[in-house]
Amino acid sequence: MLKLFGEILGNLKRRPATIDVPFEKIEVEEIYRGLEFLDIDKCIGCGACALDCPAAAIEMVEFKEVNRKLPIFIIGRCVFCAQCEDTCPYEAIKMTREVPKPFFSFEEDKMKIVPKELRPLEKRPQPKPLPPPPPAKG
Amino acid sequence: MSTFTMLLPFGPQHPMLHEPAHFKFEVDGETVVNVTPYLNYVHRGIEKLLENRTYVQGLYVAARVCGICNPSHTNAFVAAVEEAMGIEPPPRAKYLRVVTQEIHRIQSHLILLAVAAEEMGFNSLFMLIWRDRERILRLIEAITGGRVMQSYDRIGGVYRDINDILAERVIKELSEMRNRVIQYRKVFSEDPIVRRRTVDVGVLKTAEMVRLGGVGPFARASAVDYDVRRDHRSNHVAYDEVPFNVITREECDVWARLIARVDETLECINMIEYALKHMPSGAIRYRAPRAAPKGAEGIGRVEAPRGELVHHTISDGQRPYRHRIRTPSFANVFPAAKAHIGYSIADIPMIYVSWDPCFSCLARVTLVDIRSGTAKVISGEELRREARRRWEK
Amino acid sequence: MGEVILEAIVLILQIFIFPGFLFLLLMSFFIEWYKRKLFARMQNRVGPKYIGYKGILQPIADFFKLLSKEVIELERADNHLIDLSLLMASSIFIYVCFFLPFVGRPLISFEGDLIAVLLLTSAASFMLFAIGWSMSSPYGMIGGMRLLAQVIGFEIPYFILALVPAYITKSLSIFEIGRRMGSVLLSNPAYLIPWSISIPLFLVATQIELEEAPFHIPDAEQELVAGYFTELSGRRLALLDLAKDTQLLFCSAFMASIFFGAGSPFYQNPLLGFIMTMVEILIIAFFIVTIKASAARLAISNVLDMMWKYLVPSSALILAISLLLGGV
Repeated sequence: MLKLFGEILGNLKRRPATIDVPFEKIEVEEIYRGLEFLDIDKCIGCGACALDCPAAAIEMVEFKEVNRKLPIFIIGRCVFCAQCEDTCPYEAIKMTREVPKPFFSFEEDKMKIVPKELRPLEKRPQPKPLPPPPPAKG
Repeated sequence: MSTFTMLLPFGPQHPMLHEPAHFKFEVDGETVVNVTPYLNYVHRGIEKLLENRTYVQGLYVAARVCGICNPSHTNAFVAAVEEAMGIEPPPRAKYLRVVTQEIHRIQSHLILLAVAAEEMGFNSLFMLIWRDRERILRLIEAITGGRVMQSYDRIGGVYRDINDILAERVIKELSEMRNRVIQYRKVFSEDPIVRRRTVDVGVLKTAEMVRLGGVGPFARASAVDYDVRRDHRSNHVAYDEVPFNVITREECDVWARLIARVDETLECINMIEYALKHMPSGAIRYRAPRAAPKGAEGIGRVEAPRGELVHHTISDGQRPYRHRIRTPSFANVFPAAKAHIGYSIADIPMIYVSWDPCFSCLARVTLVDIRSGTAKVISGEELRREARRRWEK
Repeated sequence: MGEVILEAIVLILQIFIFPGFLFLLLMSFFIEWYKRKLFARMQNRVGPKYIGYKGILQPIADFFKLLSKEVIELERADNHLIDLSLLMASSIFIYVCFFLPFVGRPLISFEGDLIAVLLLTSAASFMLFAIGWSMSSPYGMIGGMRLLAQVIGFEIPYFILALVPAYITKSLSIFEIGRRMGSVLLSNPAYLIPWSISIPLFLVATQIELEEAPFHIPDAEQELVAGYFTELSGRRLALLDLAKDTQLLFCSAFMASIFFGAGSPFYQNPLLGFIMTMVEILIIAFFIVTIKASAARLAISNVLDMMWKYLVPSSALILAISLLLGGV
C-alpha cells in the first residue's frame, strides 16, 4: 500500500550516500572554475580583464620587476565567472581546479592572489649559497 | 451578511516558505476566504545594477536573479542582447544551449518535487530525491564548471565544448536517472496518502487560469497548451530542431501540477539525449561586438522551469539604457492566490508549493490586492509598446 | 531483621538503578539513538555518528546541551502550567515503565494494573495537550487542539485492543498476561485469530499515540511551526524530548509485554529473559520507524475518519470475537 516501503527497507543494506567531508575529499571536475592563475610571461598588462570583470575584482598594479602592470585578483570580490579567462587575448589567465578555501579577512590585502615570483624580496625563497671552494693545495 | 474571519499571517519567517514573503490569509473556520500577498522582501535592485554595467559584465549580474533558474536568466539575457546586436550563435552553440537549459530544468523540477514531498511530511522522499539531484549537479559541474551558478551561455555562443567522453557519461547517468524518476512518478501518482493530500486540492479551471494569466507547468496542468519553446520561434536556441512533447494535464489540481513536472523531467532527459547525439560540429562561439548600437532593442523569451521568462533590453551604446525582466513567478502570483480560496488551512502548504514560487525572481514591483485580478498576456509587441510608452514620456 | 534490611537495600537499588530510573533513562536515550539511526539509514543517510561509538551518546549530549540553554518564556503564557505539565508528562511515562516486566517480575505488579497503566498514559497524553493550551500563541493552541482530537480518537481503540490479550489470558495484570500468553495460544489455537489481527491494529493505534508519521499532525512543521511545543526552549525542550523518548520506550515495551510475553519463556533465567525483552522492544520499534519513514502526513480530517470509521469498529469486533471464543 505504501509505495516507498520496499525502497526504504532496501536502503538499509546500502552504504549511506553521505560524503564525510572533512575526512573524505571531494574531487572537483576538470572544468571547475577555481582560483585564478596568471602566466606572467604571456601577460602584457593591457587591463582588458579588469575592464570586463563584473565584480571589479581585478586591480592592475605596477610591478617594477617586470616593468609593467599586472592584474591582482581580489578573492573577496571574485565570483569565479571566468570572464577574465575569456577576455584575455593572450590566454594568460587560467582558472585552476584549486577550490577557494573559506578564509575570510576584512582587510582586502590578505585576500589577494599575487603572482608567486613577485612577492616582496624577503618573502621569496632565498637561493642556497654555493659551498666554499676547497682550500688550495700545495 | 458579515462573517467573522480570522487573520492568519504566514510571515516572512516560516518553515513553509523557503524564501521570505508575507501572506495574510483570512480564514473563516478552516476555510480560506481571501489571500493578500505582500512581496518584495528580496528586492536587490538588479535592474538598476544592470544599467551601470556593460553587456559583458551584466551577463553575470542577470544570472544572479535566481539561484535555481539562473541558466534561464542567462539565456534570456543573451537572447535579448543578441537580438539587439543582430548576431546569431553558431549551430553547435544552439544545441549546447539546449543541453544546459534542459539539464537545469531537471534539477529545478527535482527541487520542487522534493519540497512538495517535504511539505506533505514525507521526509524520506525528500531525502531520496535530494540524493538523486546530487548526480545531476555533478553532471552540471562537469559540463559547465559550476554546480549551481552555471554561467554557461555567453554573448555569441557558449563557454566550453562537450567532448565525446563527457557526452557518453552524461547519457549514461541520465539513463540511470530516468529509472529513478519513473520510480518517483509511481510514488507520486499511486501512493494513497500522497493522493489524499493532492487530488482535488487547489483546483483552478482552464478559463480562470487564462483570465488570471498563469504560465508554465502551473498553467499547463490546467490544460493551457502554451509552451514558449514550441510556440515562439527564436534563433538563439535549437528547440525547433529537437523534438519534444508539451505536457498538459486535464485535472487542474495540485496532483496534476506535480505529475506534469515529473513528466517534463522525463521529456528533458529525452531531449538531452537527442541533442547530444545529433549535435552539429563546428565552432562554439562567434566573436561578438562589445556594444549594441544605440537605441537597439532586444527581447528574449525563454521557458524557465517555472514558466515564461522575458528579458527586454534597450541599448544605450555600451550599456543598457533600461533592462526589464518579467519573471514567471510574478505572473503566477494572481492565479496562485486565487487557488487558495475555498480550501482549508491544511491545504495551504500544498497549494503554495504547487505554483513553485521563486521570490528572488519575483521582487520587481509591489502588489496590493489580488481581487482586481489583472490579466497579463505578454506578447512581444505589447511589451515594446508598454516600455516605449513609459520611458519616452 | 537483617533480611529485611537486605531486601530494602535491594529494592532501593532496583528502583533507582535497575530496572528503575537510571536504566529507564539510559534506555530512553538508547531508543532515541536507535530511532534516529534507523530512520537515517532508511533514507540512505548516516544519522548520528561522531559522539560516542557510532553516535550512541548523541541523545545524551543533546539532552545536556538543551539543559544549559536559556528558557525563553512568553509573557502571556501560563508558565507554571507549562512547567507542571511537562514534569507530569515525563514522570508519568517513566513511572508506567515500572509496571513492565523488563527482567523477571516488574517492580509494581498487581491484578488490574493494566487498567491503571492505560489510564496513566491517557493522563500523560492530556498533559501534552495542556502544554499547548497554556501557551497563548496561535500555533501552540491549534497544535494542542489537534493533538486533543487525535488523543480522543485513538484512546478508545487502544483500550479495547489492550483488553483483547486480557480476555485471552483471563487476567488483568501485565505480568500475568505476558506469562500466560504463550501457553494459552499453544493450547487454544483458535485464539490466534483475534491475537494476530489485533497486532497490526494495535501498532496503528500506537503510531497515532506516538504522533509519528503518517499521523505527525501536531508536529506539522510546515503549517504550525511545531504545534504544541513551538515555544519550548532550554530545559523545557530537554524534558519534552525525554518524555517523547520514554513514551516510545513504554509503547514498544507495553506491546511486547502484552502481545508477545516479553521474556516470559525464560522466566527462570533473568539474563536470557532480559535479552529477549530487549530484542522484542527493538523489533517493535523497528516497525514503528519503518512506517514513520515510508509515509507522508495525513490531514486531521483523514485521521479522524480513519479512527472513528475503521479503527473503533474493528477493535470492538475483535474484542467481541475473542469474547465469543473464550466463552465469557
